[in-house]
Amino acid sequence: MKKIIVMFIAVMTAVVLCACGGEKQITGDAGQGGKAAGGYLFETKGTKVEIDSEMSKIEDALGEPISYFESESCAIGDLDKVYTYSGFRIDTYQFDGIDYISDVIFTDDTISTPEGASIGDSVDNVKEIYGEPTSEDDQRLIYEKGEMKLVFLIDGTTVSTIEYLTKKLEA
Amino acid sequence: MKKQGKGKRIAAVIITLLVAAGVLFFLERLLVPKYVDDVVEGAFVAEYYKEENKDFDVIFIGDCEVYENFSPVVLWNEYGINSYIRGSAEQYIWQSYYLLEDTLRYHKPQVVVFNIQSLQFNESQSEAYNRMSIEGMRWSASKVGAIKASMTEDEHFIEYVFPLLRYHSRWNELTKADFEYMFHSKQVTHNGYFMRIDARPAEDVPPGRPLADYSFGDKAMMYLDKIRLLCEKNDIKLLLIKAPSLYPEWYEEYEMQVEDYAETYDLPYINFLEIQDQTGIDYTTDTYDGGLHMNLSGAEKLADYIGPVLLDMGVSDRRGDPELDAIWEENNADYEAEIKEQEALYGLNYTSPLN
Repeated sequence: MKKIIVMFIAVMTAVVLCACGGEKQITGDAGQGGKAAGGYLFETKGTKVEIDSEMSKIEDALGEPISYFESESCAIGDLDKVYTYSGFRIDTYQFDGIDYISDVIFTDDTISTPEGASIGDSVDNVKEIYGEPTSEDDQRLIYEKGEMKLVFLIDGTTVSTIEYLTKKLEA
Repeated sequence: MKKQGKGKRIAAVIITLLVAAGVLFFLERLLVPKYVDDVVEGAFVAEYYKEENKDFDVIFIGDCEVYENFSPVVLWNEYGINSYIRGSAEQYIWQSYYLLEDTLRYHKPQVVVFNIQSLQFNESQSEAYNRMSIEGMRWSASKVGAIKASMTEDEHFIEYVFPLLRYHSRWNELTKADFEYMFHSKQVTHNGYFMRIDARPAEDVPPGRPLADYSFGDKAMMYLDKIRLLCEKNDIKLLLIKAPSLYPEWYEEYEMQVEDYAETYDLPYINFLEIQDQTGIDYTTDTYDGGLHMNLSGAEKLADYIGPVLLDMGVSDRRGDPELDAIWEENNADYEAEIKEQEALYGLNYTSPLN
């Protein structure tokens, strides 16, 4: 009988211990917030834009966006935001109520990366600046660094778009 | 004497195991999310099973672009169409397939309406969305299939079988609702339709970000084939739609692929983004979140548009069936009651665009 009681206590203790462990959460962007991605930085008007860093820290320095859009994640309610500036846009994701930068996307050739690449550059020019990409195909060159990717979308032989992307939102 | 002692020990073991199982069951019921206060979308899939009469002639399957965009009450009131929306948040196409398969265990509709937005995903993007679409399904081969097709890298099948393993850490997040709804749930939809009466106009919707490759993935297309074939096998007509949500972007390249597919298999396809003049959707008044989802006004307009399309496809006008008339009378009362509740909540007076 004692053995049975001991077994019962052991089972219940295990359950309680289980209940005290683990911090996985059911949220849209579970565990995404926190540390900035490092890697390549975008820079505009003297402001450095780092992937996975807090948008609020650079929002004032970037000035008023041309347009702003926000959308609630389906059901979960976190806000995804899009800030459109001249020549680029910044998308953010939310974690614990804080907006983190998920990507920077070039929208025209009036701006360039700090290393000197712009929309309209040739593939060869990009490789000359950044070296051999981490991966490539007919449609893009991908440079991975830290927890982010710098992606050059290719249309034929020229760059059609440049994107700084977080890896944290990849499925 | 020895036999008596052995019998007692066996009885004690059985009682202990039963008590342990009871405690674990109790803990599981307490700790699993109830989806009644904040993320009510997690309750949608399970609500279907509560319907006593599942003789629906039209079943909608898909993501938020179906469960927020079409009013089954209008379909009944205006056209006598007995419909249900088996929608869930970011429902991936493989989940739509298994939910349809699951639905066919209970009844065979005349038409299935599938919203093709989910073709953009070739893999599940989030455990949270997987859980909201799958947990509410009753156990069957379809649920097993849905789990296997959906699991992300960090998920485990066993955690769907025993949700306590997944939710044990919720003990410090429990709310009053977790206790109140341990053994029953609150109705949150109207035949799968999720109502919002407030409005927020669509403004500054950004263009879609350029993609390296606009082709739908192999897995997504495979499940579209499976949905089509399942409908064919069961003599069900399939209607493909793209709801008029402005964001995320529905790329022209996506549209071409769906149009090609519909033409190849002779399927009707309606892109509601292209027929705003016919549906009367006004993005200043018919959306509650800036163009992503329709509010009640938008959902009633879309139902009013799709009703005649469904009748043309052969769906029956069931008005006059005493049992259904009674059910829909009750559904109408619930619908009107929620409109009143939301009028009080948002300080609005709702007037149906169909009046």
